[in-house]
Amino acid sequence: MKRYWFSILLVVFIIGCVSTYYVSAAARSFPEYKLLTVSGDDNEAKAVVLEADSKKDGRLEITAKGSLYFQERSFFDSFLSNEMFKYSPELQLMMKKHKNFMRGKKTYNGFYQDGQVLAYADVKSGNDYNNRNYKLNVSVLDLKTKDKTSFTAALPKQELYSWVNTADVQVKGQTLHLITYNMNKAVANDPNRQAQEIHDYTIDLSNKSIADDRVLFAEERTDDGKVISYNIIPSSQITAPSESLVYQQTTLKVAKDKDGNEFTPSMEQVIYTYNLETGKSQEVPAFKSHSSADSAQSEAMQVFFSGGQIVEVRGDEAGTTINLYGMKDQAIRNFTIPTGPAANTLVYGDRLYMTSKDGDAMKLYIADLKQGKVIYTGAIDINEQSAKRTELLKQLHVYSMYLAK
Amino acid sequence: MNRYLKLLHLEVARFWKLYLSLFAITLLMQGSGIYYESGKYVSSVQDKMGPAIDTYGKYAAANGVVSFLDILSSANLWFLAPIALSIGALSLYIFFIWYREWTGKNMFIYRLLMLPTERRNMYLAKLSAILLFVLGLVSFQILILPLLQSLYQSVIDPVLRGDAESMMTIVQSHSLLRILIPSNFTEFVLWYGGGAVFVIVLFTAILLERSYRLKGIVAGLIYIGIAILLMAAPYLITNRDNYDYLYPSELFTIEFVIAILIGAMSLLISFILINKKISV
Repeated sequence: MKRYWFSILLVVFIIGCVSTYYVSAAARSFPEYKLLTVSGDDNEAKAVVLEADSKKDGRLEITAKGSLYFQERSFFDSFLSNEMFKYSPELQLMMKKHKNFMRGKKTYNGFYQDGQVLAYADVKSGNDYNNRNYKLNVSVLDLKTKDKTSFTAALPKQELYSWVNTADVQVKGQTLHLITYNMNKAVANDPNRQAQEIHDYTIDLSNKSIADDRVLFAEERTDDGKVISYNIIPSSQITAPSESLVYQQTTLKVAKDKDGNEFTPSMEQVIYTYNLETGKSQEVPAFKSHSSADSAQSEAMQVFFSGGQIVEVRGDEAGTTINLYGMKDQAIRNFTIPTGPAANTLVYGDRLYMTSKDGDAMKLYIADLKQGKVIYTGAIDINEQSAKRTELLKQLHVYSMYLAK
Repeated sequence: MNRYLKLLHLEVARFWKLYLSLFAITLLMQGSGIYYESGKYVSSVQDKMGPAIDTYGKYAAANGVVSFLDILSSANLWFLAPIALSIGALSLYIFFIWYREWTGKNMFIYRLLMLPTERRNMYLAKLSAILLFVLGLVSFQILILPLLQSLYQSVIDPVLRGDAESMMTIVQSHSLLRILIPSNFTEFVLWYGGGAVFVIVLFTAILLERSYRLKGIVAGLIYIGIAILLMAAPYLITNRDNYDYLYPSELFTIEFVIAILIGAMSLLISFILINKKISV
């Protein structure tokens, strides 16, 4: 035995070092942040996950149950399939039910679901700028007969665009509407050519072809120095059917100062609804906003579209106002949350989630959009005392949130 | 079993002088790197201090504190060179562990092949020796990291230092260490298990060459190529233009099974070669 001491020592040495390292890594404890209910029903905050960053220990996720640090995650945690549609509770659910249909489909905005069909449409492209080779991919699953139809079609006039992104998908009978943002390729000496367009590709599902390609809105520059641009406000429930699109029109006045640099003395934002069938736009007058360089407007504003309601959140330190516009009854309602400004805002279904800093602590407010009032208040806390608690709360930076159903 | 252990010890004993010098070089270079850079930092602080900033405390308040990771990154060359040397030495030794038997006047392979034991014990002893050498060096790095940290703490005044980082933070923040020492044990096993499969494939190629000489080199290279192609196949087939068809967990399972099959296949081929075909 004596002759073999070196080999034996080497094996013991390896086992000792590696096991000490991994045992102490597993035994580490991190500050346990938690979302505590201040008022309201605990169940409201059950699905909320706050994504945060702690200066010392890196990224973590905080829920009502406690915190999970990225450093603590096991190897297989990163393989969980629900990681794939982390930011959409309904897509996570769809993933569980229709795992095979969801294969290779990654664009959140490309999904649509109603009682009869599950549909997905997206535009794929290659990396060559001069020849993008845009292909429209469509898959439709009939939920009753379980029949799956898939086809691809080349995008018409594709040489014009430098990129194409999917904004929404709607299905009506045998017609699929694919709404996309198309960016025109730059053309020298023509500033209007390098502009963004919003397209509505009408796809005939029975013919498996593109029936129509309409430009709904195009960014434009007027001669008097205005830039008018458009963007779609997607539904908080991405897959939900909707007869109308909601979009925002932004008019920037562009002027040049004496050095020739462009600046924007004023900005106007208007919200419209666009009926996909009739092709008519309608202004939502309550949500018109105008700001100019001299009347320094510090209010932050965000617009959401959820369950047939348009939700506008605006506020500052004094408080946050939630304006609601019902698309059916065209009624306008509002309520306030006596805090602000909102750090993160999220709307899902008939709930509005908002985080806001209150001293060192981060607070979470959940409002019921039907009743128009706050139904839950919570705060991130940590099981420590006085100075250490303050220090740990100060170190925490909550940068986002999502719902895990 | 007993024969295998004796052969394993033989392999370890033949390499131990060179092996311990790798330990020594690592300790010396990393130690002097940390010592030198820590000293350099202290003298640069002293240079910058003047009548306005006359204590370390005031300097730290104005310029911030230094961490072990800062020193580690400025001593990066000192730190990485011995690791690179060790990786290089062991990579070469994967080949040399076989070819050394065929060198010299009285080739050792005669005696090895004549041993009254199954020849696969000889193969397994060489394979385990390589894995032990790799893991031993990784363990040595784990062992000396806290020592390097105390060296840094002894050179730099506590006032100039920030909070001491934990070993895991240091490893995870370092671009090479976090590859050598993955964040959890499952990954460690998978990572070095994958390394073992790679060594097995190389051994198969070496044995092919030893059995069929010139033709064997071609066969060996083709064998390595096929192994790599098989490992890459799931990606090549399903991941077109980043639209992967397989879910990550499925891809992992497939890769895992392929790796095990390649390993088993290579072992089988190696055992057949070493029993039937190998020539002296």
